[in-house]
Amino acid sequence: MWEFTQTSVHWIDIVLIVSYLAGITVFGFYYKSHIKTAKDYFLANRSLPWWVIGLSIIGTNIGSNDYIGAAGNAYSIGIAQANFEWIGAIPAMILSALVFIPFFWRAGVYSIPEYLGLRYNNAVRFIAACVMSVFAVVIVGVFLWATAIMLQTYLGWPIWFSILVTATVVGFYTISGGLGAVAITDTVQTFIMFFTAIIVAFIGIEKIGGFDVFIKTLQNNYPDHLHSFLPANHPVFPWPGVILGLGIVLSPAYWCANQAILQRTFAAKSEWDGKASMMFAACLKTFVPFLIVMPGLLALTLAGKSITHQDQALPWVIKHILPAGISGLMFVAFIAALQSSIDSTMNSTSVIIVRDIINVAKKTKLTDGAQLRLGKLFTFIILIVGIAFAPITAYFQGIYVYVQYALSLFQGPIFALMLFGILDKRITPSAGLFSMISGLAVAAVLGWLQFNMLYIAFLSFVYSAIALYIVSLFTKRKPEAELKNVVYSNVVEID
Amino acid sequence: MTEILYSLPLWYAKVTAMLIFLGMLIVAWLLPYNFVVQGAPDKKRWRDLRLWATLLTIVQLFIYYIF
Repeated sequence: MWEFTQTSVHWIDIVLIVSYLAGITVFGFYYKSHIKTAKDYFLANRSLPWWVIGLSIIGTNIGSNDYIGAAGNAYSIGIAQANFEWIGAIPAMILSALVFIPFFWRAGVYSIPEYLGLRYNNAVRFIAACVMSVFAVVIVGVFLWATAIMLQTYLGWPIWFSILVTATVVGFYTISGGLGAVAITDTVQTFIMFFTAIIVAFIGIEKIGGFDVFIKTLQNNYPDHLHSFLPANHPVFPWPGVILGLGIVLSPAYWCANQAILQRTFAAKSEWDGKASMMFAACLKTFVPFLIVMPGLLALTLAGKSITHQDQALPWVIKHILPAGISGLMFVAFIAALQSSIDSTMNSTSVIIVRDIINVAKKTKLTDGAQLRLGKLFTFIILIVGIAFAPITAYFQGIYVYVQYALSLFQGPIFALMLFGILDKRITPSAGLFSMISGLAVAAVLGWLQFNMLYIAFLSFVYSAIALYIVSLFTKRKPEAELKNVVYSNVVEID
Repeated sequence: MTEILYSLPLWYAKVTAMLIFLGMLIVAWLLPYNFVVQGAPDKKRWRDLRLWATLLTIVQLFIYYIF
């Protein structure tokens, strides 16, 4: 943990990794001169084109858990893992692009809690902001630890040094360049990920003996690995849970209400660019299984069932298939996946803390200059707390799974508030507050009763939706004038 | 309830997934044209995002048909 150790990494790989870390820092630092106002820092002065945002969305979405976990799951259960990228993403991304993003963009909000404040009230905004911020800070710590583990395993760097290098590089361009730097570096990182995936797939299939041999091996030896859905009694991914929990609730909650994902669409240079960016990301998402599922299937066809733990599938591919230079590139893609998730989480959380917690709690509103200063300060504080929290994750096995589980408790109720709040102006602010708090309690009870995570998301969403309508019958609606650009019927009337 | 769920064949899952994609496509085409292209810099055909949604849906239906 504290010492540098000798590893057998080729010098070409080390040059690639160090060049990437230096290059991405310089690239991000270039954006420092663009930051003059809080709008520059948080929303890149609303200047980003659709293709940059689309690539940035995918970069933010793909984290280390996708690379290691998805490749491992593909090794274990096969192509059913791709449901997280297909039925578990694309319908929700279409919904987000065509129904949600237009409202966020027209309302001119900086964050999801800010939209909830406009649609419901500041109490809903404040609670949502607090919950999102706590999860985000923990996730930064988990991501930093995951990066450090990789650097230690691959380069022999001690954990403390690896965390410091990662935090310094990401912190440098995120704090100095704001969302503009984050989006541009994410774009570069996504290019690296796709480019590397194509090379890895090409080399792997070549090693097997061609694409026909690859498919025939899977068909003959592992036919179950070519089914897109698993039986209803599967302990982890039962198909009704995948359809109802993932497809109908968790996925829309993520793609329509996740701050780190959506913040860059708020920064689009036009409403159309915001919508098109999510559509473009959905097109890219179709091919994401090629990045993260393919290595698992390559390991299965080449190593058979000899790999003892499924999470070793991807490291096995790197070690046994990839030549020097390419394995370094694969490692750079890893680091890129992690960094693009860390920088987006830091930037989006600082927006929420400054505008939705401090600004709401204070009696006098913050000036633009104060928001800019606090934005940079809190990005730094989030990074420091993340660094402090990173080693703690080592003492909790699978803490990331627990974080995701806890987050899923919150996503059903919040998505119900977003969806019905946008579609129906009869929903009242009091109903929103009641449904969010009681929906969270219902989800916690279902968790205590040990329901599958996917079913908890679906049932808490259904409960919150029913509660919204029942409480709205007895409470006061928001005045029509205050719902301008916030509710569907009003927007269509304007056009 | 659980027994009924467990007895359903796997093709139910495929059909349900395909119906979700088709449902989303119907939602997209129900939206007014002006609402979908609002903010576009010109009136070129490819700015209509409902066409993007259609292409995406066709690709996804093909994928779920194969696997």
